[in-house]
Amino acid sequence: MTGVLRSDGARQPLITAPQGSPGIQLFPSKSMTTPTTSSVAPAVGLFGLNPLVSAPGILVFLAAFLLMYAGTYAELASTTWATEEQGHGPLIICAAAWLIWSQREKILAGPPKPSLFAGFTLLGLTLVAYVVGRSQSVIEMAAASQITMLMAGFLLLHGTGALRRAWFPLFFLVFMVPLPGALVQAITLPLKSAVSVVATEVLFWVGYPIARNGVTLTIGPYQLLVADACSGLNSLFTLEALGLLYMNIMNYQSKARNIILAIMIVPISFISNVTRVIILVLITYHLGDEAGQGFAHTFAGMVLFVVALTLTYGFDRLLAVRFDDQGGARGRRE
Amino acid sequence: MIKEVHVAVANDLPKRVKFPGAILVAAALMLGGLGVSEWLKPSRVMADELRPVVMKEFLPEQFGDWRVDHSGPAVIYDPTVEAKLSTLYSGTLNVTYVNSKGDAMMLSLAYGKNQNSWNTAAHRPEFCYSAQGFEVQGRGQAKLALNGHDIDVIRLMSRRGQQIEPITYWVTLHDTAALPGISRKLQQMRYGLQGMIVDGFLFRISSLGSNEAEQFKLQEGFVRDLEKALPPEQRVRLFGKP
Repeated sequence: MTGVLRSDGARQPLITAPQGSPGIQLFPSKSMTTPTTSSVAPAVGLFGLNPLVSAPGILVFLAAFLLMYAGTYAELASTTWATEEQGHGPLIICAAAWLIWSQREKILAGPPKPSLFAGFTLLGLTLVAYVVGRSQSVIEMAAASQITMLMAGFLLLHGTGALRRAWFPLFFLVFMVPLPGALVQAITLPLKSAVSVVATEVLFWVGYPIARNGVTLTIGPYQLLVADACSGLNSLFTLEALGLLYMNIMNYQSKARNIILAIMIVPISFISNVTRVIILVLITYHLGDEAGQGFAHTFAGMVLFVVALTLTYGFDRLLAVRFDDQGGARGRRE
Repeated sequence: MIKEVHVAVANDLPKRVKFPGAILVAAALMLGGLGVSEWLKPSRVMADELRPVVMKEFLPEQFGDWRVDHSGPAVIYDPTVEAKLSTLYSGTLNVTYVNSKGDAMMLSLAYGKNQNSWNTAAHRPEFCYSAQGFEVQGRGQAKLALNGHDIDVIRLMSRRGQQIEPITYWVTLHDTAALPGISRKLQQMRYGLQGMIVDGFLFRISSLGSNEAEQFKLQEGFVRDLEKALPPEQRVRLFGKP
């Protein structure tokens, strides 16, 4: 374990060597990796943490962090997280926390080299965003400031190396930030229109008496409005988050494979959403309006995820055929 | 020999890892940020300080050459749209005015008491028109000259079948006319940092006719006449401060 030597500790024996025994002179560079030295200090400290990292330091930072964001979480819980569309926020936080916890040894490896300047600069900028976001109820900004605050925490506790190694869980937290209303408005309508067009075309082609006006579908005696929630915008983000988590857990080494999979989730989630809308239209047409609005609505939502996950997994298996030889497959998992 | 090194290295190790001072400073700053953000939260609800808005009485029955047309149904909304509107706005009003030449002007007013809230930001006519099957084309921003000052407005051209409907709209925050989007958000934050929770309107007019320039001119004249006819307090709330 390299932990027993501080960065200056390695040099010290070299300087003192001429006066001491010649044996020491040869030793230092090797000592960093010899197992004998690791017996001096425990390799694993409190909670499996690197013993060179101050556990109280982490706890103090986390306590301040939680105090800062408790209000934001409470507000999110009663607004964004309470909606059907973006209710996945807490799960994202749990997943990110679990990822950081399970990789804590790797992330906080080596002697701490805090980057004070970068850390405090980032902390200062983050605090400005946080104060404005929280006081002026721009919740997106307050929530997003969490990510840079954690980045500043890694910089101040352990330095750039730790920040680099924790990039994925930190990036993953982007999915818990509520989508800005303006963005949602701008994307929802084109998506809704596209979903309506494709669903209508497919059903018309199969032979159903269906017509479309804007995002209003008319099938037989029923008129159905493709609601905002049916645009699939939110399921797109949820599925993208799930996909990234899947890739991270599978630990594929090939960048190309990860990128292809991440991009393919976009059309996959669109197809799944069209499937859901078609199912709802068919249920309404064959079983009546009540069925379409009742249990079937939830059922169709589940169908969306089943279709999407099946397609994603299937596509990943297809990729495995191509990427096996290049070291991108499961054989290279850790 | 190896043993000696062990001792040397072991003695070199601090018994306990020093508490990082930077973290203490950081935690203090973080808690300070929490305090400042609490202190900066706006608390003056401007809607409660001004005269309450009663939508039905907000607009005059008659002004200039225009009077309210009671003959036909104003606008028919989809019930789901209606339900959504009531969660977005504290009040809505749709009126049709006619003038002596037989021109009709459809005015739609939406009022939100708390423009700071996460879900009451005005939603844009571009989206609701196209959602109802209109084909909407942007005509960009324009300056609309009122009696004392200019305001920025957005112009649209919507078409459904044979019906061509040019639209002009803008939003207001407290006593400022604005356009939806970032500038409106910044304006809202400016009020917020002064401690005010402001209210706001969405003002939209449209008329039927394929000659764009003519219709937009008619709309401009309508707005100017309306501004002249309103009492000062209401004027500021719909058209902003000069």
